[in-house]
Amino acid sequence: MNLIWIILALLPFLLIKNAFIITILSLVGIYALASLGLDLIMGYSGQISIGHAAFMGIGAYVSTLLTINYNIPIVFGIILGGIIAFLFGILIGFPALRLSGFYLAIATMGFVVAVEQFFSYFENVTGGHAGIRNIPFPYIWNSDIEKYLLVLGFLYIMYVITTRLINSKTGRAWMGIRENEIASSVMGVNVAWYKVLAFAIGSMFAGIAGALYAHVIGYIAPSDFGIAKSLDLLAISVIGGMASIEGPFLGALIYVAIPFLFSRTNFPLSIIFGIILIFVVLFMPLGISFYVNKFRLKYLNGILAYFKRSRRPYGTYVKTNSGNIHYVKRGNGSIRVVLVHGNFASARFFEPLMEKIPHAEFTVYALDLPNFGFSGELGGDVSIDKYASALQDFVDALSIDKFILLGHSLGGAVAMGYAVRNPNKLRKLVLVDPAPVYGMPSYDESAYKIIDVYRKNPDMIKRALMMNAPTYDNEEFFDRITADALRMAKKAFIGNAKALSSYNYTSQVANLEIPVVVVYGDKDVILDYESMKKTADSFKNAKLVVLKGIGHSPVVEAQDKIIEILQEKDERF
Amino acid sequence: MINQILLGLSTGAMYSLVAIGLVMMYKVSGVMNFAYGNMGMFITYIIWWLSSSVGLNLYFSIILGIIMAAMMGVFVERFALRPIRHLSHASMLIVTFGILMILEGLAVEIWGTEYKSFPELVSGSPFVLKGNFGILVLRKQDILIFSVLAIISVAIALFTKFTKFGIAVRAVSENEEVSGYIGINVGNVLGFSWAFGVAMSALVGVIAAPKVFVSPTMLTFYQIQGFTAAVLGGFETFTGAVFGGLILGILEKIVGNYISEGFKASISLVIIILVLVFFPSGLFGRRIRRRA
Repeated sequence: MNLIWIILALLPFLLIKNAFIITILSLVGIYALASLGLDLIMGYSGQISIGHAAFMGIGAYVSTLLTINYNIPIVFGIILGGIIAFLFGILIGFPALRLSGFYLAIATMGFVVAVEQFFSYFENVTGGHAGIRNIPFPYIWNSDIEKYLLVLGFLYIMYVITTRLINSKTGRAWMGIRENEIASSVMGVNVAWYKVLAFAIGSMFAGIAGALYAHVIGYIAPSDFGIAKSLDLLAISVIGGMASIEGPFLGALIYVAIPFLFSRTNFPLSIIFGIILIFVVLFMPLGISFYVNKFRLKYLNGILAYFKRSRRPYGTYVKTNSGNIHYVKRGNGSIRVVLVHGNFASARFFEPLMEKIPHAEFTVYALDLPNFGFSGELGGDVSIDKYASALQDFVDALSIDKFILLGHSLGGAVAMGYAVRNPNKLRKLVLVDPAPVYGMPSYDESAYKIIDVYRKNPDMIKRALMMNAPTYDNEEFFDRITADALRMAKKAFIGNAKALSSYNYTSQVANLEIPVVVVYGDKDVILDYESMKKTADSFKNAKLVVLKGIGHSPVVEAQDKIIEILQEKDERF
Repeated sequence: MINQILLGLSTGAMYSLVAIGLVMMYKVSGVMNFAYGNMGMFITYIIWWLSSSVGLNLYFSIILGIIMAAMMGVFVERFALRPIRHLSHASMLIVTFGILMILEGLAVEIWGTEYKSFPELVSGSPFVLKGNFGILVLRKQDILIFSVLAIISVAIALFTKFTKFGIAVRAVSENEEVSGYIGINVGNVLGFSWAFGVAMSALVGVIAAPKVFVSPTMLTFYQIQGFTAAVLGGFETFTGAVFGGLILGILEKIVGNYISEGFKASISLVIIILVLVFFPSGLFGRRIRRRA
């Protein structure tokens, strides 16, 4: 995403000859900013505003008058314009609390008409209907590029603020209010506060956009900020797509671009926008950004995934009956440990743990299961039993004996599958947030299709991995895991999920004599305490360790605790 | 002073007419028609065109125009709004904005932006009444407006109280779903409400045209004032719409006289906000508790 902003910042230098296009791009940015504010009000907090242009007008006049009359630097003028618009937003936001739906629409419509009249009325200050001409823009080198960069800078800051807001408590409160006001107030959301806040912030965005408009165009008049402009902003938001960050940008691009497509004909734009508006509401109510996003999820991100997947193996290969298996070995101690990773992971997942583990005490092997990371692909359907026999082949090939087997998540299920076949080879079985002994619940076919979306979306994999390790904060680590996860076999994405719901070791593990430790992090979002309790109970000789405040991945989140468990001498519980 | 109030009442009566149409559409279909003013504007243009360019009789073209308005209402409701009734009211609102933009663009494209004069429907010297209250000037246009308002108010009252279809209209406005269950053709009622509403806007356009001239934005101000009137009356009742309009007309005249003409729209905003904050269901509305 940041790359796009850098490209946008460099763009005007390529177009240095075409000042006109740079101005057009500045306008796109201004309208995107204004309708981003409208998006907060309408898309996210579910209010309606037809008076958005009035706030643009307020920002524009405040900033213009301040810079002209008091020689305030433009940037401060713009910020002050935004602040005044913010205050007016609060003023309108309060009555808005009592209003809903069209009442609010009427009140905001009244507001925009009143503001327009107000600007026209005070002729000696605002220049009346004729407006203010020749608003100065002191520039150093190239006014168009500097104007563009000014717009882009504000747009970027506001974009970051918006993404932060909507992904925070505030944004969730807004969306809660949008979906159901009463339900969210029952959940403890202060509805009044958040509604006014949305209105005020949205208005501030419009105020800043208006101020930028004044300085970029250099001419303002009350009719620039009338009801027609308000409706245009509404059209931008709806066409682009409500409640989406990209929507306002796409909408603004279309809004500014279409006049050029029709510039040779005399066709009035309002007809075109009206038709597009109705068409979008009737046939694509989620807006253009929905389809753009869909396209990106399905195809564009696939290209990204291709470039992001890791290429260089970092461990050694061993030839087994289940194909080449890639593994990492650390330490040269007497206690041998084999680590089996979970779904969407690889041997790399254990890297932090393997660095930390006392090398004099342990010899640790971490492998990429077949279908994962740098190991080969397994033929036929994916099943936990196949993974278990591949693990057996791996252990036999390296002739590891009397070892501790640690399995995490899907690896936990694989470890159970291995343990029931080769109980004599194991000293101890450590299951860290394992898939339950009776398998995961199975889902509807459509749910599996969603999993396949991960295949082409590295960002989603990364976020999912991070969500499963909420207390481990190392983005670079997750980048590397994601790169490995992208190497997973094509069929494994859905295959693993299906395999996880089609096994049951409950009867087989009942006779296992070896000691078993089940570790459960109580912030796990995939597994619940009940299933972990049942898993531990179905072994003859197991104990359940619950880690407070740890998510699904104690192997990275609570490495010390895991090492402690591996070191425990007491092998009878 | 009494003449000022009379003038205010005559503009107020216009607002009442606007509000009646708005309330009819809102009550039945739940959609606030923001294209209301522009629909009236467009039909007024057509009437002007029929009578001046085509050369039809003025009254005949008015009747023709009102029939067209009704058809336009039915058409818009059936093909632009009913498909998205299940979605949300906000999306229906946005569709009316789309219609607003299209009609305005069409009017500009076909007839240009210059003002067209429209013949007075009634003309002649005003009635002047002299008495111990002073001199009372009653223009013939005012009498027309008052009588139209009176006829329509009484007609609506009789229609919704005593005719079968009128009762069906009230039933649908109470509960669309249940009305469907008891055998009312909800679609017809929705279509009727829009036909009536748009016809009202055409009527308003014709009555207002001699004064404001025919132009693409001729009814924008009336529409906003009609909204205010309806909000003042509570948006749920026709009585509220009528009296809300009259009160607003008088208020506006007083403000125009004693403060400034330039703040006519601002005063309506202030009124809307005050009314909504202190009387959320309007001066004449009843408070309804609803489940969300």
